[in-house]
Amino acid sequence: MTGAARFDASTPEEAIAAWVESCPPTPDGRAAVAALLAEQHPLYAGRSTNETARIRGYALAAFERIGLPDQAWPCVLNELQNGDEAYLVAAAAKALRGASSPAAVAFAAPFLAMARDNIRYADAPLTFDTYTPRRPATRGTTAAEEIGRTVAWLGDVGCCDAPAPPSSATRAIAPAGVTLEDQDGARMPFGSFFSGKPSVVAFFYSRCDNVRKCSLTVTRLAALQRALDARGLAGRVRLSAITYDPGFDGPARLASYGRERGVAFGEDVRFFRVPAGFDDVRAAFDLGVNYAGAIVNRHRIELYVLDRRGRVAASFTHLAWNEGEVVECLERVLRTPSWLGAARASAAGAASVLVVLLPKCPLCLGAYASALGMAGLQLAPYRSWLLPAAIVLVLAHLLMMARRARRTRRLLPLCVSAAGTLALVAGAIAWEQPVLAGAGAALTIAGAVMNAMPRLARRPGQGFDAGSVKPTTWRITPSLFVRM
Amino acid sequence: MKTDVAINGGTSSATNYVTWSPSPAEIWLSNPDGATAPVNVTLRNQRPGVGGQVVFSTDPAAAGSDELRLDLPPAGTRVRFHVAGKFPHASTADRDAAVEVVETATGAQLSLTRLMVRIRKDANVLTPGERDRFVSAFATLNNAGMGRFSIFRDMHRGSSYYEAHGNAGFLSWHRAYLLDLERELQDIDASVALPYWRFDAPAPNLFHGEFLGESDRFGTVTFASSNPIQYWRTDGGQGITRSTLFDQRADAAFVLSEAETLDYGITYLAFQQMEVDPHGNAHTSFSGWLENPATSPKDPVFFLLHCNVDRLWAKWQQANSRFDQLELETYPYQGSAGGPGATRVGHNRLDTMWPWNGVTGSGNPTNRPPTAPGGGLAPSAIVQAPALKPTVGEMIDWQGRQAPVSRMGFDYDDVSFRP
Amino acid sequence: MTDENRRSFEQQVRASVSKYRPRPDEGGLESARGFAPSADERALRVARNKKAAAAERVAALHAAAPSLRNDEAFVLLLLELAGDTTESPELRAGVLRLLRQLRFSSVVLNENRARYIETLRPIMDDPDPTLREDAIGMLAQAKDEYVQTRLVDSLTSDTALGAPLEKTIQFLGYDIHAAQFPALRRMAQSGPTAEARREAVRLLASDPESKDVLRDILRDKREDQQVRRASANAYMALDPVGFEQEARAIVADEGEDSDVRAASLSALAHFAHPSARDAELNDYVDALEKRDLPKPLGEAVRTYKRRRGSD
Repeated sequence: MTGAARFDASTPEEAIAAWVESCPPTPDGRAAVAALLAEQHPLYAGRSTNETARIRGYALAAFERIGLPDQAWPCVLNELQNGDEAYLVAAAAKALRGASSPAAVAFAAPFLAMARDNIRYADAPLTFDTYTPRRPATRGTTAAEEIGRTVAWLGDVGCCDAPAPPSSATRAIAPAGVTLEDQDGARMPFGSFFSGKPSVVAFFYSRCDNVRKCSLTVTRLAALQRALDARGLAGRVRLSAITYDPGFDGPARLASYGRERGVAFGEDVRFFRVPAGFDDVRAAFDLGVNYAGAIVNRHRIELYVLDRRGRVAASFTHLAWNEGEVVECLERVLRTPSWLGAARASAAGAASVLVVLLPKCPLCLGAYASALGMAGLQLAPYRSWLLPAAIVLVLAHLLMMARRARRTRRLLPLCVSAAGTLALVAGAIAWEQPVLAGAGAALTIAGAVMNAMPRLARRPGQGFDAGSVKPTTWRITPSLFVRM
Repeated sequence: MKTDVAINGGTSSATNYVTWSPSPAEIWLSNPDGATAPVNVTLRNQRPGVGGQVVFSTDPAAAGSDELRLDLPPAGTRVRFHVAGKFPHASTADRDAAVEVVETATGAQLSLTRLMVRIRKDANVLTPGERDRFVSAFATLNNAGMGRFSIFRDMHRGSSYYEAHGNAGFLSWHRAYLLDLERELQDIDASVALPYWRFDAPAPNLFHGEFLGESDRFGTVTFASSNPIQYWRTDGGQGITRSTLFDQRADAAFVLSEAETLDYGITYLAFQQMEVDPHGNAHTSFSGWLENPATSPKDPVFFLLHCNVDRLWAKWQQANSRFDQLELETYPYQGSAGGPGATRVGHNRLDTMWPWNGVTGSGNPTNRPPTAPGGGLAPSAIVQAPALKPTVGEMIDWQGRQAPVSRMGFDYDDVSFRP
Repeated sequence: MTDENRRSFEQQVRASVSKYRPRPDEGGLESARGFAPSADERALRVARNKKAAAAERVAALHAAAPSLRNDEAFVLLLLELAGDTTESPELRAGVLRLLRQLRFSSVVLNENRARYIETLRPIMDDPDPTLREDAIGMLAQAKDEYVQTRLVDSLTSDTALGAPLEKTIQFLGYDIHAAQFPALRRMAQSGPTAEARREAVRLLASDPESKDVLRDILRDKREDQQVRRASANAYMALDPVGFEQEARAIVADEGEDSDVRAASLSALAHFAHPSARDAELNDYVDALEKRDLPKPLGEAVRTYKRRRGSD
């Protein structure tokens, strides 16, 4: 199944729609359509807000036919909870009906109620029968009707647990050379604010016209500030928001937007724009945003909790977060000593390297024996059972790497280690070529080290990378998910 | 010998603003100059017939008079009295009125306290000075899109619409909205009062390049090149989009007349129909921003339109003695949201009003909006009412007729304190 | 229907509304609900009567609106009349204005937004220009994606939309997310009329990528003064510091258009950082005051001096 990765800003929207229509109701088909929903997908770059909404809505609506995959949950629930565009809300309601059964999505009932309220005065005549309806078409459906159909389809089912979506933690690395400008016009390097203390960074822009997104995000940031003050945590954490719209949201506008919503600025509470190099910040966080020229055409709700070293400890994306959850997360980060966090991050990589360095062949053992002999130590003589054990260890190592590659979608480290293993086995056992065996060992180690290191740079649309941060787990609260 | 006068609880110029409602004041001998017996003094207007005029009384329930005689103890004990604007003699400039205190026996002037009788007036008859000060303050509040005017714009968007419309609290909410804006303007220039657009009469001086602009044939408003409102900006966009369906020079808007409006009925339930006509008709006598609820407050004329709506309510209140918020005829939804017989939250007498109460909700139609920009109502230097998180009912007694402490510091040029 | 026709029609409507309001003896004025149902029924009979004069029918609807604003049948009747191509343009325009009025106070109309949009979309292509422009404006205010698509198409291709170019650009301003800034930049630089260029400039105030274009228009002495003044406003939004420098240069240029000079001085007086009102500028303004100036420039000088006193 050819993926959505081949689409870009120049792909005609009708072609994308035709491709959606051709996607089969298979896991690959569902995954392929779900990939279209990432706000940062390159296909949305340069498209108008309306075109972006049409494409996303058509993709969401397609899940009714092909089935609803786990990867689509955040977008579906976001439209129901926060959406104010009838086409997208209707599409999300339709998407729910693609679930395997009503019981499987019973937890979405409160979201449907929210959507019904949100769209009450914002509905419109719509159709999903075709991507480009004959205009001005008579009505096919409305958002309220689609919500009603889904409520009826759900029937009287009890609640259930939400499926665990794939881990989606990203790791932020201080974009090199990026300077921030705050609401008072003061400038500082990116890393200087986002290290030393745990911090919160939300993204917004002042021209966002959905009050449940940016306006509410900043209002809640002010509430978070008050909650932290009440718990005596002011001064121990930093709060910030960065604008998606640095060309328009200058310092005065940042200050005005924050103050109007109750934010009290100070040393540890600032709003920023990135006057130059915002693309590096976008890449570092893998922000869910896209643009038509300088105007945001789509963005998601997103807030990140960073640890003292500026690494992402938790992300809250797509759905509304509340102050209590973020405070809990910050308290946990505060309780984690900085050395432990570093140790955890190193441990995963160290484990891979350790497996590689274990002796797996007579040559390796001979090498160790020689090295240790130089140190004055003696090893037990070579035992014949060590060779099969070494082969098993090597294969286990490759299997672990394969599983990780599937999760992180990074194949290069696995390929390098596999090639190294082949060379090692061929050189050490089959052909008895020490040089080949040595090269194989080196490649195997290199693959393990690459696997342990985080992605250094990423462009939008290249998917998520779990990096070395622990995977996301989900916990349902009455109205939203929390990603921990 | 010298006297000092404190108006509205202060001696600084910031408190020397009065309306038709009596303002509390005090006078005392600050320099008795050897007097051992009470000194009889006369309080009067320094320049009768010139500028704003005031009246004096010792009892706020009594009619004021042009002069007041008081005995002042030599020890400097403060003596209370009340001062109010003399209807209909409002000021036309800051501090153009003055309370002169003279020793009754000798006529020697003991003090002169400059003040302003600050009244909301018909925009079409403002003096050039009044007009220019208002325009300048309003442009400063907007500050080319960067000023606090954006809060007022954000209060009146689609997501919060039913906090203020379509139900009984419409008039109270807008009275608070205008008062909040007016006080912000007065922080910029204390001499400014919000004028009203009398929409059932022609207003050629209002729709003029030197005031709130004249529409060209495409509905873009043009201004004199010295008028700072030309830099008006909202939602990141520039200028004002407005054209009138009526002749701006010669016609009124397509609305019920004032007499017909006041004739809706003697109860609030009947009178609140004015939300449809003349209020709705005033809005839709334009095309452009004013005709659409979500964009109407982007146009500064919106506030003058609503000032007239409020003035009509004030006139109706006066004609029917509707100042007691506890009367059903004055306000039909007693109690608070969720109680017996209650209506939507924000429209019951005891409900505090969004956004000043800071209460947010899920934003569904029967709940509060998700955000509440701007904080509480702007305070005033001259009055303590309403509370900074006002209730629907508190907005009713704007003149303090039920309780003097309820007066809110504004009045209209044709609505007196005493009928 | 021309503007004068419409004005005359609305005046006739206004003159007739009182005929259909409840009479004092109908006793409905004091009740909480169903104000004078007999008056409402009388009004609706007139409104539905195709043989009655259009002004009378619309007046009757106006009279019934305060009490029937949340009656679904009344709202649907209005939508039906607005969309009925067998009715006269005057009646339909009058009903459209009443629908706009009820947007302010009718929960039921706003709950029927889908039907409202459905009714308006075909009117965008009505033979009557007033109806077309009304419908396009109402849909643009509703941020309807169909009208936005048509507005953008009419700017970027030869697809005609039944409204003047200047209004088309203006309607796009209801939603900056719908604007096509590259097309608007071209329009601002080379649009066929000064008003079209000015409307494009107004929208470019939202586009940081248009900063340089706006500055160049402000500097262009051959351009119409209203376009240059609009550019001043837009450029100031995007580059306040750059604008201050341009404004100072314009004020000091004796060969400049006096309206543009006055507008620049007014901006410096009200919106510039106080440091921009420095000794050099103050001295220049003092010297200007002594001369015989065109009225707007003289006003701007006086305002500048008054504001300077409060720095």
